[in-house]
Amino acid sequence: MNIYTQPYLFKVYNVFTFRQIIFLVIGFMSVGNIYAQTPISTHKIEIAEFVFTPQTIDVKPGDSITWTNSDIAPHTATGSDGNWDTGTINMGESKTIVVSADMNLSYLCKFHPNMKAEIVVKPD
Amino acid sequence: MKLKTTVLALTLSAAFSPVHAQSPAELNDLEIAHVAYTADNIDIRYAHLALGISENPAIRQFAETMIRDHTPVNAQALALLNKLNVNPQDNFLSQDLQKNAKNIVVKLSHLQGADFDKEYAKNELAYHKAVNNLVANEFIPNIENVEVKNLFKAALKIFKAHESHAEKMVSEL
Repeated sequence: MNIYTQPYLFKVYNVFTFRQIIFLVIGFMSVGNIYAQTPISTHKIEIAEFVFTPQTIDVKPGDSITWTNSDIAPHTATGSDGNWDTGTINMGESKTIVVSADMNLSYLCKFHPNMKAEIVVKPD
Repeated sequence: MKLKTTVLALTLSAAFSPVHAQSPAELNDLEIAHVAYTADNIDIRYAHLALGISENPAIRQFAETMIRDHTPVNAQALALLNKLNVNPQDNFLSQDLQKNAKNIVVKLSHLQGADFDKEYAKNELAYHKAVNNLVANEFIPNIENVEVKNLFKAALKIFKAHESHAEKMVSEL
């Protein structure tokens, strides 16, 4: 039996194809929108010998920042206003946060307040 | 391979030979390790005392940091000595440190409030200055085993950060 010769099945096939087209159009629109924006970046910050390196990074909302600690002593990366915090990063561990538009510019290690660095959040 | 093992064994036995030292510069690697382990534990002891007595947030935060930082340093030191299959050796300097610490603990225990905070902070600054001077100028130049030396270099960075933190704490009290 040829399904396309059956009137009912032929109708269903046509409706399904129409839906597929709609999904494809929406899909293309979304992809176009993504490419119109600046891509999201991942930034890496090393913690060694009680120093954050690099000391300053430029980021955008939505970017992620990963801190990796190679010191024996545990550290944190904590916004100076206490608004954000990676939590404890033990030796050999990494912690990641996603940048938000309202993140404080300066941060420190809350265990060792002399360790300071800066995040510059630039609008998208 | 056999030659390599023999050379390593000879190096370790020379570095860890039991000679009764009379000055810090004469201590062998195992005696130095014992001093460092003792010094770490003394500071942890002071920190527990501070957490038991002080209600000042800055003092309590510093004390918590001392416990948090000195504990992994000691764990690393013990792991290294275990790996090298050697034990730390008690010596005159470890005993002096213990004796002084006992007196300081008695003195601090009789203080309360701001008096305790000031004395604890002052002692932490003086203690870290003295230990850092010892580690930088007497221990690191004389340690023979490379792994032990590297551990002391890493530990010195931590202790120097503590010294700066203690300086700030003293100036703010």
